[in-house]
Amino acid sequence: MSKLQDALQQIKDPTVADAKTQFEQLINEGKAASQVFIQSSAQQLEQWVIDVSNKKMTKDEFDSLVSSQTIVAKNFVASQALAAQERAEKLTINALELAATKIVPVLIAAVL
Amino acid sequence: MRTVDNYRLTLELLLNKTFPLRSLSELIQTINLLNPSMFKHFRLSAAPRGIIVCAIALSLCACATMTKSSSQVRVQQLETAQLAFIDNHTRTEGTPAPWDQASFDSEVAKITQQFTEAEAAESKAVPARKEFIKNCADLFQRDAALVRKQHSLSPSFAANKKKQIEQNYNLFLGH
Repeated sequence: MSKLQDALQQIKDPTVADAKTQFEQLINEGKAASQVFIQSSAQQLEQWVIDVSNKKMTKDEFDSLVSSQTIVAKNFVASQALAAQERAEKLTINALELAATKIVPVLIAAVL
Repeated sequence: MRTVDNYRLTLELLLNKTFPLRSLSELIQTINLLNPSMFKHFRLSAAPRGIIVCAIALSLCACATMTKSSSQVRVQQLETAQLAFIDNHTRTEGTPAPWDQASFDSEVAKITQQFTEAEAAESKAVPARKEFIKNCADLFQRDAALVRKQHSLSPSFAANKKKQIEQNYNLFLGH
């Protein structure tokens, strides 16, 4: 039995039985995801739940990690936009840099 | 160096490879005949063009490199500051240090200022970078709020938080 299952076993309330199963499935799906960010987020969330169940963290600390992770997720989305914007930058600023560092020095040497 | 000289050199550089030097002279002479005030400064000289053109190329190169690296360095500094903040407030074995509100407020203000400056320094050309730093500042404020409430952080929370901070900054720094 995994550490997560051990932690979830401590919840005896039958009204959250479905939620427990769904949560475990989501964690397993996340850990198997191809995107590193999703994998890492699932692993971290699993660890937080285990730490709370072992009383190594307070509920406030757990809540803080969860709310912060939503911001990290926003940054993950922003980083996708960043990739698109950096492509535009690559085609403008980097083209200038390339011209200044590689093309022009050789061009000058050829002209002089 | 006068601006007209800059124009002359740039024009020479651009046209030297596109047109033979004689064609440029002829072009300028023709324009001067049509409008004598225009291009009156554009006489091809025997000035040390190579040296000046090299200086321009080096300046361009330096600008491009600095724009790229300074942004990365600033974000790296924010990560370091945020990780240090967590370390500073993690509970250790033994008697905890007495809470110093003034010192804490000063530390938070200093790091907040760092975020504000980093956001302001980002170019508008890539809005996602500004957005990223803004979100990182929000992340830091949540950590500060928790420390303000609890006065210290559990070692387990600190370890998890540091992983989260690294995950966040890796999105930008890509290491």
